[in-house]
Amino acid sequence: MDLATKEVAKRSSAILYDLKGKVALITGAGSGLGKATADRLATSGAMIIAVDREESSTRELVKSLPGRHHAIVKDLRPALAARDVVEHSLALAGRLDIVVNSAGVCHFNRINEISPEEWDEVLETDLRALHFLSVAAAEAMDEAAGGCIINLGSNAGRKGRAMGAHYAAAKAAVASLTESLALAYGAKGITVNTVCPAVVLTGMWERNFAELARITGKTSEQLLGGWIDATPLKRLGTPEDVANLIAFLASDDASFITGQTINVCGGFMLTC
Amino acid sequence: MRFQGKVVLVTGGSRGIGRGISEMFAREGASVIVNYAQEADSGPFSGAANQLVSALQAAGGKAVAYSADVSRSAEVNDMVLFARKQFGRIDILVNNAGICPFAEFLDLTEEVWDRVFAVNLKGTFLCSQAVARQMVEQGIRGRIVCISSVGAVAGTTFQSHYCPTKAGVNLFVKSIATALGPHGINVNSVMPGCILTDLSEPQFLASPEVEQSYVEKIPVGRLGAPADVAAAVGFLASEEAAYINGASLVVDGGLIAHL
Repeated sequence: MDLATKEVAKRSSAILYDLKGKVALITGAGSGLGKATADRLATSGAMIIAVDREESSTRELVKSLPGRHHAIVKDLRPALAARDVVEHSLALAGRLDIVVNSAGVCHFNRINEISPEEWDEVLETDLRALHFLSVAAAEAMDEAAGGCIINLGSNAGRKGRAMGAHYAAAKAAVASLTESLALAYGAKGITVNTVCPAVVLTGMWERNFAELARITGKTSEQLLGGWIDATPLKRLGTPEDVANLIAFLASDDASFITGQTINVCGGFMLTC
Repeated sequence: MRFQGKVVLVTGGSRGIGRGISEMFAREGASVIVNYAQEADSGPFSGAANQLVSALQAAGGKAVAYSADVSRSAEVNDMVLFARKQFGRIDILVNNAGICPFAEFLDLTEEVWDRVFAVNLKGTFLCSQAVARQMVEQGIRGRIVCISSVGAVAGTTFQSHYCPTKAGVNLFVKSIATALGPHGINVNSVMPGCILTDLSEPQFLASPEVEQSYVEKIPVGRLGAPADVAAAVGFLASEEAAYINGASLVVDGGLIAHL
């Protein structure tokens, strides 16, 4: 049997993409897309290691999931955080199969008003922490079992953004890093991909709206109306829309997909 | 059985990647119309479509073979009418039919150029429009998945006709995704890389050295299988991909990540 046939033979045709026996480390799991992803991957049978710097929401999430899961309360920005989290995960679960880099911050600001501190906050959280956690996790993954890394990108990283240049630069860099990690770890059986939502109403958007209102003078209703109008499917995305794509990418069904940045935006990015 | 009760039309569905897609949908409960071209059902492959349909039925699937040249509008319209009479509707269209007769650019003839464009690009247009018209008329929130290629973003020496057709398919997909989105029809493409099929075997497995030269360019270290592409099509056609529209999903084991 050639490799391709063997790969296909071990697949299950289960609807929900069977992840039983797999351990998924999810950063930013306390809220928003990270939380939805934890729910979705747990539904497929994965054991979740929820990582977030917010203690109460993370512990609450872990309690709400059916089965046995773990919380690690940690800020991923310090230099040694990635190594600590991976070591802690291995101690808790014995293995690591899936990493979802969902932790991130987003600021809207005019390009000439971005302070060095705000620049560092965005790039350190959205890019640097993601890189070091991905590498630490990939190094710790089992050679025979392989694994996958899935990053949260953004439509902002696909085009220029006059009002969020730092966030756009970080997310564009995540797409580039996705290709580099895919090349570096492909031989180890690890796939690396990025999912790109546009506007998904999560807690992060509460603050985004305040910042956008200050810059654009538009209300959140006006902004939402404009975005829905610009989306061919005529609705905003949901956290579940994004989590479903992540579940597919984490499954054996996607074992030949790597190095990709995939839009889940209802077609919004086609029109802007 | 994600596609129980769904009617799926797979163009070029009897061989190559299309065969893998037909098999996936039949296994997951759909009624599959396996379209094929006479030219793909001749010589050593004579009867391939009917053999596939028999095999799918023997495995408990629902399938029917239908011969039509996707580059001819009359044949495409007849096929869509046939689907409507036979099954009442089409829920999912997979534009998979495509040809790629390798040619030295300096020797490439106008006839071959026109034929590749007729099947790969015009065929995708004709089938998409005919099926979408019926979906809109019947109020079906359907799915269209087009099989493109990594050749849409990376040129290759002997495919100077094929690559532009696939780049065209990608932009066609993005365009009709905006046109059909408001009707609740999602349109996406899958871009396979090096996939081992009955059609590509002579190319990829010409010798162990040739095979190795392809495999070493693929980060995950293997050629793809039709089932890899079919799994991506299945995801895009499923409820879980309800918000994915106008996207191109590359299934290439990382091949183009460094091209």
